[in-house]
Amino acid sequence: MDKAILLESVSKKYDVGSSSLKVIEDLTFDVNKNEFVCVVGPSGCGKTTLLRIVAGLEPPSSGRVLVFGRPPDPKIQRFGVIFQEDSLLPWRTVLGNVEFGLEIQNYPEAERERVAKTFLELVGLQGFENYYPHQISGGMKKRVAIARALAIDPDLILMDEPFADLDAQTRSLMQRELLKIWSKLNKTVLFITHNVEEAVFLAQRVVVLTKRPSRVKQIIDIDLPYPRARLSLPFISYRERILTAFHEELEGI
Amino acid sequence: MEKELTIRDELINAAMTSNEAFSATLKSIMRRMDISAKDLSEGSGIPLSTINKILSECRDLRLSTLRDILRYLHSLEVPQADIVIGVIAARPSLDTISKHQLLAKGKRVIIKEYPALTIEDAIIAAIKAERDRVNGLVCASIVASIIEKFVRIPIATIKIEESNILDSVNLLVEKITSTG
Repeated sequence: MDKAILLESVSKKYDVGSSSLKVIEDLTFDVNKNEFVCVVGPSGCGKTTLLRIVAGLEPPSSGRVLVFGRPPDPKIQRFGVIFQEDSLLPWRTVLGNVEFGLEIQNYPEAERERVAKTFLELVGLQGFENYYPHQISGGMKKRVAIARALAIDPDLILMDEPFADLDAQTRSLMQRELLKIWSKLNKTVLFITHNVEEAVFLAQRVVVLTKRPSRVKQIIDIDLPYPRARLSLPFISYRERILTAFHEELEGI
Repeated sequence: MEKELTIRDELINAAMTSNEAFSATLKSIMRRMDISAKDLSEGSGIPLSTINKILSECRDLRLSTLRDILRYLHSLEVPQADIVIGVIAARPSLDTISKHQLLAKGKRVIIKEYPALTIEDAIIAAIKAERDRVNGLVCASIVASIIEKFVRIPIATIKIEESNILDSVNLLVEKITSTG
């Protein structure tokens, strides 16, 4: 099975009082093993719900979801999830925070420190092991969150607008760092964002969703070598293409 | 916690008594659960004629038939919840919960317990609960602000009344004066 993620006619609706709210309708796309896929769509279009369905935290109302050939089950499969908020424990050191992710997975205690240190080095935080979250910058906190998610050796990396709260400079630095890490680790990444430029910079493929109930509006292969130059003509033309699709969806919201 | 007699217990007890008792008990359970002979036949895979004979002629039945009947009725008995709610609290607080199944706003609700002693336990419990696909969590407000950074499910906090605080104050006064 080459597909890391397979979504087939996935729908999700929530009962709200006596009526029901359709968040996702007939959504179909797949993600190959080790692929980096970005999902963009207008806010409120069900991107986070999609991520939760892929992580097995919510069942779809109908349709089929397979992660590495089986229905996702967070008790068996490991998902490294990174949210916008860094969700670090303020009373634990940088090292302790990465170890916490391993503790949740019942990782053998004797191995935790060594593994945590390896991943802190990978994200460029060697020397900061004993700092506390309030002593480091926003970008560094993000790196800790990434190290924590990667340390558990996840089957999938799921990122939900992880860089949305960073300033522009730090964000673009973190995007480059993430690509470096991804190229080293051979992991499948599903990255959710509403930032089209971010998607074109990061992804091998961009899935554009419609407004709610979300369906796939367009899937665009970004056929550009890494690292990508944001001001190059092909980059801008990809951006324009996706923005056009995106803006069609924004109208009428 | 009181243990309720399951359908399985009821039917086995009746079977130990007599064929007539078994037949009568089965009939009463079917009435109670609103199951027809046809439903029972389709659900258990036993031919309708056999079911009718058990019900009307108090016929002796084969062990495999008994198994099929029990299995089917038991499957209906397992509570099917509309909503599962996790409660994160210290063990003594969880032990005050006497009902783990209830009806709320017309929905069948199941309560699952997640014991936690420290804030970190509570975070781990919340992540586990989310992986168990609970629909929401109940916890102390001091815990809620932290766990909502880790999980994306609705959280309701436990409201503390003045009387709870006064009880604790009284308890503490007792402790202080008795050790002094």
